[in-house]
Amino acid sequence: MNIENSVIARQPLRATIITRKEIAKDTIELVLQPSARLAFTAGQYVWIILSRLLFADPKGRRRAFSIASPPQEEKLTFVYRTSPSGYKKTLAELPIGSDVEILGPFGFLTLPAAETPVVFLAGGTGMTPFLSIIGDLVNQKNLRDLYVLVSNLEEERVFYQEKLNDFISKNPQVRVSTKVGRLTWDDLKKCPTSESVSWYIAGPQAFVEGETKLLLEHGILPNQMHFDQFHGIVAVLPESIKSPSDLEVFKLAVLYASDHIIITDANGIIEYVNTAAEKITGFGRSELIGQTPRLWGGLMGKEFYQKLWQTIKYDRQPFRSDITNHRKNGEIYQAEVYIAPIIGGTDIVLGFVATERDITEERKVQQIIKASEERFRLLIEKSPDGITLTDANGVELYASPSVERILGYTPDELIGKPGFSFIHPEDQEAAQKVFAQVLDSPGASIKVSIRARHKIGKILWIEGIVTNLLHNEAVKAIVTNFRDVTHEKEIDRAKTEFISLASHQLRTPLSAVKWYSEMLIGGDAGQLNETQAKYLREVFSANERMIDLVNLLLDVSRMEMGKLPENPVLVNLPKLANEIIQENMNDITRKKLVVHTTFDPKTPDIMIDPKFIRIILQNLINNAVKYTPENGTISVNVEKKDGHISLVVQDTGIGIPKEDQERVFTKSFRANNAKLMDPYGTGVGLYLTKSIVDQLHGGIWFTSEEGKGTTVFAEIPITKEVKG
Amino acid sequence: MKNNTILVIEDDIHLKPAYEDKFGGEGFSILWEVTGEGGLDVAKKALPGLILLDLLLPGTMSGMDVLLALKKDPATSGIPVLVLTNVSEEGNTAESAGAVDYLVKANISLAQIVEKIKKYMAS
Repeated sequence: MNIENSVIARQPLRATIITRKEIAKDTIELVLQPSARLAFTAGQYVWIILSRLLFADPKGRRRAFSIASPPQEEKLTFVYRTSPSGYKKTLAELPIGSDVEILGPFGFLTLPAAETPVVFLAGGTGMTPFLSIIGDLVNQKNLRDLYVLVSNLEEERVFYQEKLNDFISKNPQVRVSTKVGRLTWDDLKKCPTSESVSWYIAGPQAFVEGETKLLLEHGILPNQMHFDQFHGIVAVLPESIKSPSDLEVFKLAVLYASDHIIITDANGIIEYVNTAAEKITGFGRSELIGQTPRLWGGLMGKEFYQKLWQTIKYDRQPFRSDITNHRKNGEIYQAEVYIAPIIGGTDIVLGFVATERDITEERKVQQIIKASEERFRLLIEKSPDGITLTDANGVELYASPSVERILGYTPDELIGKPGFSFIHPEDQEAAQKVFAQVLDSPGASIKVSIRARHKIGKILWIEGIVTNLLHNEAVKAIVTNFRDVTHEKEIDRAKTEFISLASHQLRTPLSAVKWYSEMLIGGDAGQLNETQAKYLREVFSANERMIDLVNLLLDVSRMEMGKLPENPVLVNLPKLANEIIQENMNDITRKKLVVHTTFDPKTPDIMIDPKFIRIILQNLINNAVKYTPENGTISVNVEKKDGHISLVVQDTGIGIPKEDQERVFTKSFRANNAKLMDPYGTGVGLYLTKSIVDQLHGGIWFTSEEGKGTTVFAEIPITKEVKG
Repeated sequence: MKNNTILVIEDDIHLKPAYEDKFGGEGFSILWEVTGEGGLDVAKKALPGLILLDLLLPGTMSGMDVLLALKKDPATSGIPVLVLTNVSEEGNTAESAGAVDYLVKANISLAQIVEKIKKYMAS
């Protein structure tokens, strides 16, 4: 930008209107001949001041206009929309050859230094600054990857089309597309969208806001967008500073601005600092004045500073970058720095204005957020569970890598498709039901077990948890977390088959032993002598223990597999309890135990699963009989109370040692005194009892004293009461 | 007059002497069949006073199939069927299919079975 004999108009500079023509509907091209050659860079503004207004205008006699002509031109071209304002109407009426005054230029538009792609989005006359920049680039033969998207809201001739066509024909890198109507993402996505791309947006406020929103929605970062400089602060200030007191206000505003602001001379010697500069650097005003910014800088490496000086001093362009500096106390901080040259009327650099914004905390937070996001992303991506996000209609929005491993479909094959299409036809209804339930209960997680179809056609069993996070701002989706449990299901089936087999195969020989020893003991094959009878009773009772053990193990495995479904029927509790006492009559008689029962004969039949009550009573009564020494007493009470049945089994047995009481209901646990009394026990009975009571939503507890006895209490809610 | 014939449909021939001796000793006459098809056939021809039926049987008919076929045929539907098996999962199904009782062999003595037979035996 080395233009000889050019000036910056700090005082109003006279300029003559050479041409003024309507180049499109309501669009005027105005060409001024300034009385001195103006030094301006691409994209700058000047103020055009009218000596008097022919029509009243509350905003006064001046307006800012983007310069549409390339910097090397002597004439200044402006393109603007007509409007009913007094100013614009006056400008339209002024005869060709009449004079106006100009002030400026103000405001910069700088392209990134690196040869990265640049996109210009222009709405209507917003194209003006871009025209000037493109012209400048063409002249410099410095055309990078350049995309220009122009939107015109009305169907009219695009006034800059010829110029653009000219650029395109000479410079194939420049890609231009014009459109009537708003630029949509379909238009924008034809441009490169990586993070290295810089987006420049200019046009009416609504256009700038609309396009910015669109870019943000599609992941373009705010720091890739440039538009603020078209509304440059410098350009606005002269209008508002009308008196010396206004200038005082302006000085105070700078002094107390939250950003660090310093002004240096052309050699970088600090002449002015505001309070934020003192606060951020930690140096006092007197320590800073007369120093250079090296006082708190110098950490960035030689190339950085070379580039900085090249830009601001020799290129006379503003310099913008992130920078690492240090405070007076040595603490390192991160800042966004913006340094602009102050160019004097004789085209010499008078000094620099530098601002810094401390972004240390912001960066820390960003890093924490980034690390946290990374952690959760990895958690999801490395999880063996498949994780999907769907919208309220069940359409897939996201699928984690594990989903492909489980279902065979790539995320691309899943996203945008209805999630239900991967579910087995027979389970569709169930899945729809769960989904409706999930939609109805925001925040709640619902378990689901269904069949899905793998891409290659095989059927899988899937177990998962579906959570409605549609109302969660951060997620806004229904999250399904699932795994393939086909193998587990197969094992389950094998287990069930094994149990059914075991129940038959183990019990069959045990029944034969049971029945033949029963017949021998009963004298069906002739009278036995006492020793023969004694031995045979041992065979019989050992076989009975084996049968009990098989029964118990079957019950436990069935219960653990959830294969003990509740089948409530009408049960007569006293009768059931008596049956179980009868089953233990051999031992009761042998040990000369006294059994008290306190059943109310009028206890009505209740709806409950007899299988469960039998297991509970069986274990409690068996234990009482087993662990009560000869001549002891056992009480069994079965009672129907409000909404539940109460079972109490009391004995005068060996009791449970205090140190063992906590572990009584754990699997395979046996108290030491119990082991001494009966070496054959499995330690599974009370575990099973407790598990069943839990399954029935009941409660079980006991009181016990070693050597004195134990009382066990169980309460089971009644499924349904029957009067009678 | 009581029909004292018991048809036992049971594939474990090791239990045959027990049934014959114990139930025979109680004055019942025993017919023995090891398959479901054979059992069904004999039931129709002999019309026993009671049937002891195992559930796991060799051949194409399971005990449950036999039970359903017996209950479907008016000629045999009145014969009481006592399921006597070591499979403990089918109790409810068997009873709803028309069995008078469901006994797990390993959990019941011969004397108790005799009581049950006497109780259910058709007159």
